[in-house]
Amino acid sequence: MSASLETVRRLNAWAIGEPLARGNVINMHVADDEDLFTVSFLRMGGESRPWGVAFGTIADGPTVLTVPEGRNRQLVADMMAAFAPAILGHFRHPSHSEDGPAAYSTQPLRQVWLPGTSHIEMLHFIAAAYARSTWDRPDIAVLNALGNLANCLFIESQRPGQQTIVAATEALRNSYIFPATPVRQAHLGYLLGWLNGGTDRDARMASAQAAEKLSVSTVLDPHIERTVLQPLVSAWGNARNEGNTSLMSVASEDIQASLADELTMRWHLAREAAETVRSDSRTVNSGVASLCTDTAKSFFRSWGEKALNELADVDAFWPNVFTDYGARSAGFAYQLRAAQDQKARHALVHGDQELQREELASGHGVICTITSVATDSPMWKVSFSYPDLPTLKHGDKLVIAGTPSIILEVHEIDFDSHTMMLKPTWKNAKPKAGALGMVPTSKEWRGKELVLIDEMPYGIDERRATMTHRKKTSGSDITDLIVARPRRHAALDDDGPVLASGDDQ
Amino acid sequence: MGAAARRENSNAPRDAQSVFALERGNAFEASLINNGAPILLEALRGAEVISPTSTDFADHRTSSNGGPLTSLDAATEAGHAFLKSLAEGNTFNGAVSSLTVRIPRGVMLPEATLIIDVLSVQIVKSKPVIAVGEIKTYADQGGHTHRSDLATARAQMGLYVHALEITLEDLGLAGAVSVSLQGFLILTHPGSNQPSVRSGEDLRYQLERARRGFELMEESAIMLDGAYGNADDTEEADLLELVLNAPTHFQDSCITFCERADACYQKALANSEGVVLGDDVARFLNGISLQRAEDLMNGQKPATAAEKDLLARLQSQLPALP
Repeated sequence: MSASLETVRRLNAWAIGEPLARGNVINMHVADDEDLFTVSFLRMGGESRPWGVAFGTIADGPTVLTVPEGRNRQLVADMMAAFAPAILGHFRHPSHSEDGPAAYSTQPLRQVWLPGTSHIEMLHFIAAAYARSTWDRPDIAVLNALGNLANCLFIESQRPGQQTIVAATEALRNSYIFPATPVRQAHLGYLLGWLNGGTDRDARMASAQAAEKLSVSTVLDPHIERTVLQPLVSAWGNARNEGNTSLMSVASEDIQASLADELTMRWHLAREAAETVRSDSRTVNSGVASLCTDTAKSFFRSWGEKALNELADVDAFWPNVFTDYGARSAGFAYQLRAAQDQKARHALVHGDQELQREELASGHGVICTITSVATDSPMWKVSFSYPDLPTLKHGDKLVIAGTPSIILEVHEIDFDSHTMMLKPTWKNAKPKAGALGMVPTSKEWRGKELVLIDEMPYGIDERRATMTHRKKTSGSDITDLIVARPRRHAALDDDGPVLASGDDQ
Repeated sequence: MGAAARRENSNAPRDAQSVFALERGNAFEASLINNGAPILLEALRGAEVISPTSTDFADHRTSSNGGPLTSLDAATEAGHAFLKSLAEGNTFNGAVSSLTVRIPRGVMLPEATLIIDVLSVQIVKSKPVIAVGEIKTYADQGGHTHRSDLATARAQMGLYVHALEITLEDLGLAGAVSVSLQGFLILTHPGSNQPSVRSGEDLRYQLERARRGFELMEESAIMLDGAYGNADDTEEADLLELVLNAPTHFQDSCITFCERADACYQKALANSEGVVLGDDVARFLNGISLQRAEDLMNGQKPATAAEKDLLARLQSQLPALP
């Protein structure tokens, strides 16, 4: 989609005084209450491990876990070990669920929603801390499993078309056009203020601006940290140094109360976002079902299968937390993402007229009328009315919008007369394609006005990805010369000793 | 800028930074440098910033930051003396913390003091080569580290390279000491206070950017021709008035860093400026107010060629499907 298209859409939203529905369908899956797990995190300023977490399905509501001192690795690990079974069980980890993960299943797709991208980033920090930790703790296997799930979720969050992990801000921006600068649209409260904060523009805007004053990221408002939490954390630390358990307990409860308010506020914002999208009156794009199927397979391959292998004492080959390491695997990941991006668009475009219009505006298709149909061999002459200059050339494949199985090849194109010769690639009638499943030589095609869009051949990029992945060291490839330095892992013993008294001094 | 923001809006935030983050930053830097900087030197050797045999360390921090030097002036003297000693052939193979240099006064700009977090020194072909390093407390997430964070740190290092070059030039040492165009970043491992060093940061373009930035500042100062900062307006209150009454140019990037962004946004909203919906909207409207654009969208007839053009652009974005 072009930048100016988004600009005009934002102006339209401003003119009507409220967020504008993006298209006439919803292009994402929103799980049912019991399958939608919501997580929000908080971390101490400057730290990367969590200080607290709120988690739970919409059906069960939030459970809050916090520690009084976010710099104490021991306490944080205890908290994460308590959190781990819930999220591992949600994704049907074989050790924490009776069902177990599966690529092909009649069970509904499980999702996790987080308030925004900073919360997704916490998954990466958790992965860095625990995925390969060799810490001598009885519950280290649970922490390892949590770290690996967090890493796989973090990687999955970057895969185009995936339906497993959702940043609530992104879900809202994909479903609505907000009359606000993109810079402000990273704040979940701000977006929900525009959506649900009143009945006219002024009321919605005031609600959004008020919500924007509250931090919803993984860090607290510095003013709250300084005035409320720092004294409490200091009191807890002093009490611990003095061995005063009752004072420690009082300070800890106060910290818990303060953090719990912040965590549940973020949790409920993410829940509200999910419910807002789910209760939208628009129908869900028919292509979302195929994205869900694809997601189940993909997430099983990247996580579920490895979790099963690990349990069976087979090498799991968990992905590295920090890097692809080799140029070959980085190239493979790049090509695969490119393919998946096209595949996701392919899945959605046939069920979404707005996406079809975007494709046409970008020149990746035409609105045309069939002017003649050859009756001996399949060949159509069409005249196109939009766009003036499509980005098509001889040999390109087009499909009829909404009917992806009907494929035509561009045989000739004359940009001056706005005509094309198209060669249908099918011979017999296609009953499954409905009214447009006629044989290509049928005279009934003549005079039909069609929207033809680019076929989006994601298979080419998929093949390219496979070729890159299989590539062996040739001795003459420049990438052979790239040698990645082994990266020391944060969670290994070189992290420094973990003291029983904590390491927050 | 904070004082100006609070004059405009008494509810403007007072705490720009987390107290815990500040504590963490100080603790991290101290852990690297204290007791002869064994952790820092080990990390720099591991990342091949300094050679495996480099063991020298000099602490140029001031006492307010836990170092041995009494004041900023003393640190600057020590910094310049250190550079001179290198030029004179004194051998030093290792790292200096908080090397302080004073950039000489420009035609209009005042002199400025810069403190470089870490400076590495290596002898290459009998000549000392110095390289700048920047300490940041955020986590090194490998390939997932925020690009904007890295870009900011690299821009800072480019500025330090430029500052070192002009300081050496000013001290007459440019031929005797080389400044490396490769810097290094010292980040933390996620969830840990252990350093993670990224070496070989190419600073050529950041250096050029800093050089150009200084030239632009100098040109701006010359254009002002002494209009501000004279004896009459150096009182804090006068300067605050100057800031508050100076023209502003609100844009998207203001939201991410400026404490006055909220007040400027409200002004832009009151003036019906397109920028309240983003920089791209301001460009798209090309000087036409948001209210007028709304009127045109609601069916009012365009009165000027610019309005006709805007209306055409507003209407021609997407085709109607058959």
